[in-house]
Amino acid sequence: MTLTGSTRGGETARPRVALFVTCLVDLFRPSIGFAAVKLLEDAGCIVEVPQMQVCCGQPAYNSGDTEAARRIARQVIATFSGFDYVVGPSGSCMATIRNDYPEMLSGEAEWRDRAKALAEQSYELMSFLTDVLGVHLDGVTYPGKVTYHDSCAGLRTLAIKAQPRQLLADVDGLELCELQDAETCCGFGGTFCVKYPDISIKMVSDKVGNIEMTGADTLLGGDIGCLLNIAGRLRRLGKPTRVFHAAEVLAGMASGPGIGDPKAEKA
Amino acid sequence: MGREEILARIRSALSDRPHAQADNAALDERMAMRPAGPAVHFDGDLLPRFIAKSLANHFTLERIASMQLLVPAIRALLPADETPDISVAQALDHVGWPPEWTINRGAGRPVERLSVTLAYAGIAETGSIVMRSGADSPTTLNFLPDLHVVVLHASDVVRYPEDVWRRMDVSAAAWPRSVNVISGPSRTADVGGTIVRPAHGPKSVQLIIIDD
Amino acid sequence: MGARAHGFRDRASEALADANLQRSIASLKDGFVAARARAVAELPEFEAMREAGAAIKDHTLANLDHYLLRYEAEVVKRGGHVHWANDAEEACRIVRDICHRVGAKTVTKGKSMVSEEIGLNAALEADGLEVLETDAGEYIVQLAKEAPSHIVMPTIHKTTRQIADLFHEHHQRYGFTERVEDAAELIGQVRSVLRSKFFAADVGVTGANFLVAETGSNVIVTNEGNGDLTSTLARVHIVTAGIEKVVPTLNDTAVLLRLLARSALGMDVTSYVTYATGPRRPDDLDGPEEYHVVLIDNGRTKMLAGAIRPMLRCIRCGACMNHCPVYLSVGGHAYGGVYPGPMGAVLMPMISGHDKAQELPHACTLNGRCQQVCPVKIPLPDLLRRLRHEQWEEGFIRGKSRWGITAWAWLATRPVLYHRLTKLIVALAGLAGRSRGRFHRLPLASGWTDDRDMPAPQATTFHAAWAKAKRQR
Repeated sequence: MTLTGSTRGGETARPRVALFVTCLVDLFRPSIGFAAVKLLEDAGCIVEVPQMQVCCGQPAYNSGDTEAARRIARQVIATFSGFDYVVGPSGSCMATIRNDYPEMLSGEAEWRDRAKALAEQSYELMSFLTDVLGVHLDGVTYPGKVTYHDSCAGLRTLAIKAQPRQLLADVDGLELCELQDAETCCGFGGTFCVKYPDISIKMVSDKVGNIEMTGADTLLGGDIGCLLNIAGRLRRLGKPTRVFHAAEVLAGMASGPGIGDPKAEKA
Repeated sequence: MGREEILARIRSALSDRPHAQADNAALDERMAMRPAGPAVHFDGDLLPRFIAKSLANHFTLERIASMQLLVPAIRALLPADETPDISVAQALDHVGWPPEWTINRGAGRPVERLSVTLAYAGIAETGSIVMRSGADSPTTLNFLPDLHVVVLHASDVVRYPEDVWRRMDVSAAAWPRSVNVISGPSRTADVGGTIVRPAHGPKSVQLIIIDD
Repeated sequence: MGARAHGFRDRASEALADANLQRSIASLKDGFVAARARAVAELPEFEAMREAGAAIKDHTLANLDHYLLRYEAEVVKRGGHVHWANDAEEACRIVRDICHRVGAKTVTKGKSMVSEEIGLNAALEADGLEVLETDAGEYIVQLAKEAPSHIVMPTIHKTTRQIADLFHEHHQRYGFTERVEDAAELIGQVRSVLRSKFFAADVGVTGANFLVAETGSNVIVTNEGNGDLTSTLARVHIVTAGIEKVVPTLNDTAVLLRLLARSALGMDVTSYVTYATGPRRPDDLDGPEEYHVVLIDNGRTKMLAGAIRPMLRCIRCGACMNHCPVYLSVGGHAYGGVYPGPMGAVLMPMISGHDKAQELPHACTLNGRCQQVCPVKIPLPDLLRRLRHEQWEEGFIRGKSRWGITAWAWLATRPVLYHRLTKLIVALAGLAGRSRGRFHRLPLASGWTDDRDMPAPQATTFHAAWAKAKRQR
């Protein structure tokens, strides 16, 4: 891995990065968290995982319980102060921290300022690797035809589009085939997928149809919520497409079971 | 009454604005200045752009050297064995219509084969023509006929709608009842998404540009 | 027309199962979405126009009283009358009174969404008037006794065959005895039927895309020509318009018009843009004898007063719904009101109240595509989230939806407890799902597992694994 970016902490000091795990990675797929740690450490960061974290507060915020969201936001701000950067493997959670925290806390002068400070230091993982650290990957292999789903919050709020593709281009053996309607919502939408299952299924089925049309053997994305949704539908329909978080492929940690796959059979 | 209640609610809704009431002088100045916003940038002469855009809008188009050639141009638009029964805007009354033709000089009729009107301006940005209502130009001639013929002086083609507004007098005495900016024949896609021409208005619009 | 948004879920399910509707909606994507994308790609200035359009609207809204008063003064100077209606009922009463005074029997209508919002047709028909929609799409849904399903393309939900059947049933009395299925022929029938109605109309009602304060004009944007025939041939021209339609000057309309047809239809410009001002002048050969404008509030001052104000920028282009994956899945009728899609999900609760439109702000993934394509940059997802917040505060969100979030938020602020609990649950879940890697059925989550597998956790939480790894270092 080579770096061409410049970071806080100066030329010689290694940046201190706090990992924002996200609740779904914590519960459903820790390997994404470990992949994120590997990528950050290989890039020269000192990674810490503050224990006093659970959630960014988005479920409460999007449900209308703004007071609860504020309580969670204050906790996140307190937990994550004192680092050079806060990085998480999710466009949706990091968008909440970057975009929504200052807005949510705009009525409280001290917290608003702290929220702004945290927002400026907070990044989604892949955009942090490219835009801040200028990472180029060496010696990572993933032989296969891959297609990529652009998760909505990361795409529209954080402008994450080129960065994952730039990193995936460094992976040996990986052939990226663009997904038709890559930017169309997959139907996860947090609680939407269980509140309006009929509509959600239509949306994820359309996404699966587009994935099939690429002929790809692997689907990647940057948000586990979307990936759980799409993998869930792929498995129910008996489709063979494997699903990973892009970080897992980039960290060379995608040889095991994908999302929704059983533990690998002994060869 | 509704008026006072609505205005009161508006003022209450805007109670956080810096001035107690709208800063009337500044707003009146903005109105007088009529600031223009971003427009579609294009280079080159106006007339070629206007012609290209009009044709793309499904106008049909011909150019004649002078108003003297208008009558034969109209004649050619109708079958040779048909004696023209047409409506003509009084702005074009002077061209010398053949006496054997039936010329309606009033408002448009329910059945209208062909009308001839004089455009106030052409807009190069969008390939549109501008019609103003008036004694010499009834609005119905723009909408009732099967074939609407629009006579336009090449020198009346301007770049943008903003240029049309600049030319016009907005005072109550001068501003017409109806200004139509027309960019093609009548159409609809309401049945199965299929584009059909016409809907209620003209099936075709022939622009006759007088090169001057 | 109030919202019937309880039942959104049921109507959505019906819509998903309706093959005809699904085919019709798919054509929206291929048609307008692609056309808009092309139109925008060709125009490097489009982003600047969006900024300018939003700024014009925001400036006007911030000075709405001034501009409405200026507009009113100009209308009156030019021989017109301005009426102000607090709500739908008042607006209908004003129009009914005008019709009564002039002895109207026949009313023609150009397309006006606000007139549907206030339920004008039903009110006039109750007075015994013949009311005829003249926009082809509105004419069709009027015949079919349906609501329009899209604010620009009212008949997007209807197939050509269905329309052919409809005309065969209703046009016999006009002499059209043969059933035809050709779109041009069907529209030809509409042209023929309505031509005489335009001339017979006592009152013509149109809407307004914009009201111009500078000249006291109303602007209508059409392709068919019916709006102009409605307003020019009737004895009395009535304009129904929301108070937010006013813009200061003619040049302001030029900016907004550049955005409108591109965003709605992917066209640079529609066939007709008309600036109508007042009744016929003394020398005019045609035109109405009377000109009235009914300015309608009906919830708009409420929007002006709060966080929802940006919604009043809306120029009714329909781009938001054309690009909304929820609208594209279920169509307009599922929303149960006059305004569907993202803009409807904001407007219906504000116009009809949260109790009548409770579900609409929630039937959204907050994916943000609508905001991206809105020509005046309305932050629709933020507004929908704001409405969810209001519902939460006012107690409209109850039961599972409420306590689920409350429980989650409670746990989320107790990380130590949370990590202990989840370590245990995840270990069990991971064990249960280990062999297949996923769950086919989950209690309490049938919304997910009816049609999707749930990928199984990996038998440990990240925090537990990280703590273990740190101990081992």
